[in-house]
Amino acid sequence: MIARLLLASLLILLPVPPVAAGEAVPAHAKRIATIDWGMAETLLALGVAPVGVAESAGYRDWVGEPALPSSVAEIGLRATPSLEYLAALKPDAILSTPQFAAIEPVLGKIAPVISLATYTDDLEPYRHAQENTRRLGALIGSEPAAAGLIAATDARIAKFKDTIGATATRPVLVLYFQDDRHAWVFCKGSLFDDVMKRAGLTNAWTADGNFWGFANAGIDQLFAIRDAALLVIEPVPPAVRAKLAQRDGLLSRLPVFQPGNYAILPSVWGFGGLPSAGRFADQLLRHTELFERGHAS
Amino acid sequence: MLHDGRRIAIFIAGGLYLALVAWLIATNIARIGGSPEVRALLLGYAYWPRFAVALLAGAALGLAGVLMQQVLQNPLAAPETLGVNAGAHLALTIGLLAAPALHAAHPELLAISGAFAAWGLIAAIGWGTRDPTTLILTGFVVSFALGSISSLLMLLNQQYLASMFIWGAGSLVEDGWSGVEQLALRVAAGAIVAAALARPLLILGFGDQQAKSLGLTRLLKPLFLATAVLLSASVAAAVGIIGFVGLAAPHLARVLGAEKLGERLVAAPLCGAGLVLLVDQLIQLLPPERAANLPTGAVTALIGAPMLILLLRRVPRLMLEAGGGIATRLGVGGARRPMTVLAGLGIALVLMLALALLAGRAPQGFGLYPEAFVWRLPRVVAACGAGLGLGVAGCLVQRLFANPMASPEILGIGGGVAMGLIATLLFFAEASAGLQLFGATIGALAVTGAILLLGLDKGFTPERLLLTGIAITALLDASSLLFLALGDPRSGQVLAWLSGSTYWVELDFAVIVLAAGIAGLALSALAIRWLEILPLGAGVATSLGVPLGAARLVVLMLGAVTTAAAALIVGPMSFVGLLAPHLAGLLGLRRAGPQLLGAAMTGAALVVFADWVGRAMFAPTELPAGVLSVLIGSLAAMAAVLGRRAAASA
Repeated sequence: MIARLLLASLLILLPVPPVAAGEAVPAHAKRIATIDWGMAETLLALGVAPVGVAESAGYRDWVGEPALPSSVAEIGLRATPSLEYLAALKPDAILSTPQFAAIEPVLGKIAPVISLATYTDDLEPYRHAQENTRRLGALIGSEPAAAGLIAATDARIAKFKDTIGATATRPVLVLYFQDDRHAWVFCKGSLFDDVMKRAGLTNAWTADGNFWGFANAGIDQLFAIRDAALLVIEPVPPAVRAKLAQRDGLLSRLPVFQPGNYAILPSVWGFGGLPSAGRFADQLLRHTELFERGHAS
Repeated sequence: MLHDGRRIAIFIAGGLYLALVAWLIATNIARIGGSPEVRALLLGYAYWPRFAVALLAGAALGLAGVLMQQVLQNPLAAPETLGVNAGAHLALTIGLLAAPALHAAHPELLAISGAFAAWGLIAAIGWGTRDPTTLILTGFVVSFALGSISSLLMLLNQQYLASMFIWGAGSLVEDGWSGVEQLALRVAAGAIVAAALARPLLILGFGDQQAKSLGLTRLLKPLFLATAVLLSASVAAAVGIIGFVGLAAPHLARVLGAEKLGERLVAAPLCGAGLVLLVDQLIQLLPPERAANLPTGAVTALIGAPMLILLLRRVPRLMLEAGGGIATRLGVGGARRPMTVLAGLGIALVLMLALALLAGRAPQGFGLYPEAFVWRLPRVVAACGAGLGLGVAGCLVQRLFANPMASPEILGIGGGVAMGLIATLLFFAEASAGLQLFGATIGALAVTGAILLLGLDKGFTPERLLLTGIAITALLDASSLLFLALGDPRSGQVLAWLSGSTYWVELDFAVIVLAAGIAGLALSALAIRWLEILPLGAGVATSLGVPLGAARLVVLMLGAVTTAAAALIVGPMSFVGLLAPHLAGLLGLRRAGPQLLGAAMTGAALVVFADWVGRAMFAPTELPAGVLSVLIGSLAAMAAVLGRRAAASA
C-alpha cells in the first residue's frame, strides 16, 4: 500500500508521449496560467508574469530565478491544479506539457490548453526549449523578446566556449543526490547535457537514461568514471554532506569526489527551459578550472 | 516427523539453492570491473556490505516474524501486518520534512520510534482482544491510516521527499559497513533474547492461561514483541521496506519441516536471509542501469506474495475460529423502523450532495460558490456512484462469506481490479473507457475466483480470507512498482488512478459509474432472499431450497462487477466497501434489504464527503478522494473496533 501511494505521487515525473497542441487562442494572450515550472520561468524571462502557477512555493525553492512576483496566484498541485481556482483567474490560455495530457481535456473546458513538449524521446530538450520560447513569444505577441532570450542564452553558452573552449577537455558528470547512496545522473536527453554539448564539454555518463534525460544510479556505479569533473546540483542531502566532511565511505573514495575535483552548484532546475539552461551555463563558467585536463588527481 | 520422500526433496531443493546462489555470487563478482584497487574498493565497500545487509535484513525479518507469530499465536502477525512499516514510514517522512538533520544522522531513531508508536496504537485499540483476526484487522487498518497520512504528505511535498521513494521500495545499495554494523548489533541482540528465552517463548504458545500460571505473560509478551518491533524497525531504517519476508519466512520454514518452535527460530531467519539474498543477487545479475530501477524490497514482495498464496493450503489452523457468532449477528435483530433510518440516511446523502456541489473554498475563503457547479458536477456524480457501488459490493461480499471482515478491499478484489487495468493498458495501446472497465472486471473476477478455489476445500475461514487479500495487495504493490520501472508512458494513468482522484472524470463516464452502481443495487435486490439466507450457513441455505452453487456464483459476480466500476474511480483500496455495511449495521439496518440500501447510501455519502474534503480543505491544492477515503474509513474503522470493545465490556 505504502509503495503504491508513493508511486502515485511520482506521477509528476512520468513521461508521456507528446500530443499536438492546439485550439484557438486569442492573439496576444495576456492572462496565462501555467502548470509547468519550465514554462513559468520562460514566460517570466520574456517579461510576462503568469496569472497563476502550480506549486509556486516549490518554484521558489527549486527554480528560484527568474523570481516569481507575489502577484502570481497559486493554483494547486501540478498534476491536479484546482479547476475552480483556475476558472476564477479567467486565463486566456493554460500552458501544459505532454506529461499532463490526461488532464488536458478537463483543463480545456476552462481555456485553450497549449501543450509544449521540451522533454521528448528525440532527446533534444535545448532545441525544443528554443522552439517553445518562440511559440510563447508569438503567444504573448512579443516575438522580439523571444528572439532576444534565445540569442542571450546562446551567448551565455558561447561565452564559456570562448573563455576556455579548447582547454576544457575533461568529461563532466552532473547529478542530483537522492540520498547518500543513490543519485539521478543527467545523461543524453537532459537540458544540462545539451548545454554541455553546445559549450564543447562531453558528458562523462554515456549510458542511456529515461526520457527526461536522467538515470537512476547507485553510487557504486559511479566508480566506473575515472577521469571526470563532478558537478553536484543543490539541494544536497545532509547525509551526503556529512560523508564528504568526514571523508567517509565509498562516496568520498569515488575518484570524481576527490577534493578539488567537484563543485556544488546552487539549485538549477534540471527539467526547465532556456532560463535554466542559461543559469547552468553561467555556473559552468564559474568552475572552468575543473574542466581542464591536468587538473586534479 | 517428516516423511522420508519429502526430506529428500527438501535436501535436493536446498542443494540446488546453494548451487544457484554460489553461481550468482561468482558471476556477480566476476562482473565487477576496473583495476585491482578499484575492484577491492567496490568489493569491500559495496558488494560485500550489500551481501551482508541482505542476509541480515532477511534474518531479522524472519526472526521478527517468528516472534510475533508465536507470541500472538497468530500466523498472520508480521512487521507489515502489525503497522511497523507504516509507522516507520510516517515517522521518517515527518522527520525528513521537519528535522532533516536528525533524519540524516539518526534515521533509526525515527524509524524505531515510529514503529513503536504504531504498534502502541494497534495494541491500545486491540488490547485485550481474544480474537487474533481482530488484532490483524486493527493492524491492517492502522497501517492504512498511517500510510494515507504519509502519502498525503508525499503528495504535498513530493519534490522534497524524493529519497522516500527509494526507501519505500527497499534498495539494498550500501556504502561501507556502518549500516551493516548497526543492523548486525541489533540482530545479534534480538537473537540473544530469542535464544535465551526460547523456553518461555514456547510456553507462551500454549495459551495465556498456562503462561499466566507461570507468571510469564505480563513481562515476557511485551519483551518479545518489543524485540520483534525493534528488529523490523531496524531493517526499515537501514534499507527501507523489504516486502513480505517477515510474514512469509516463518511459513516457508514450516513447510520445509521446521515444525517445532526451536527449529523455526533457526530456520525462519535462515529462510528470510536466503530469500532476500537470492532476490538481491538475481537483481544484480541485470545490467546496472536496469538493476538500479528494480529495488530489492519490491521484488521480494512480488515473489513472496504468490508464494504465500501457494503456502496457504499448508498453513495449519492455529487460530481460533473467530467467525462463529457472526451469522446470527448479521441475520437477526435490527432497528424497529428501518424505513425511518433509511429516510434519514437519504436526507443526509442529499445534504452531502448539495454541500459538495455548492460549497467550497475560494481565495476569499470558505463559502457557497454555486458558479463553480459545472466543475464539481462530474466529480460529485462519479464519487456518488463509486461509493454506492462499493457499499453494495461490501454488503454482498460480507453476506456471501458470512464474515464481517470480508470486503472487496480486504479480499483483494480492488487489487485484482488494478492488475486487470494494468494488463489492459499493457496489451491495448488505446484502451477505451469501456475496455478498461472490461479489463478491470476480469481482474476482479479472477481474484474472486481464486478466493473461491482456495476456500473450497477448507471453508472460508477469516484468516484465509485476510491472508489472501494481504498477499494480493502486496502483489499489486510490487507489480505497480515494476510497471513503473518498465517506464511505460501510460503508467501515469495507472498511478493517478491508484491514488483515487476524481479529477479527470468527465460527466459521461461519471454517469456510467453511477448507472453501474444503481444497476448493482437493483440486481442485488432481485437476489435479496439469497442474501438473507447465505450468512446462515450452507446447511440452512440448502434446507431452505437455495441452489448454493448458483447463488454463490451470482452474488460473487455481482460483487466483482460492481467493485470494478467503483474502483475505477476511487482506486483499489478505499475501505468504503468494508465500512459502509458496518455503518449501516450500526444504525440498526441488519436485514439484507435495508442493509443493502443503507450501505449504498452510506458509501455514497462517504466518498462524496472524501472528495469534497480533498477539493476544499487545502484548496487550491487538491488531495485525491481515494487516499482521503482510506484515511476517513480507517479512522472510522478504528473507532468501530473501539466501540465494539466498549460495548463488549459494558
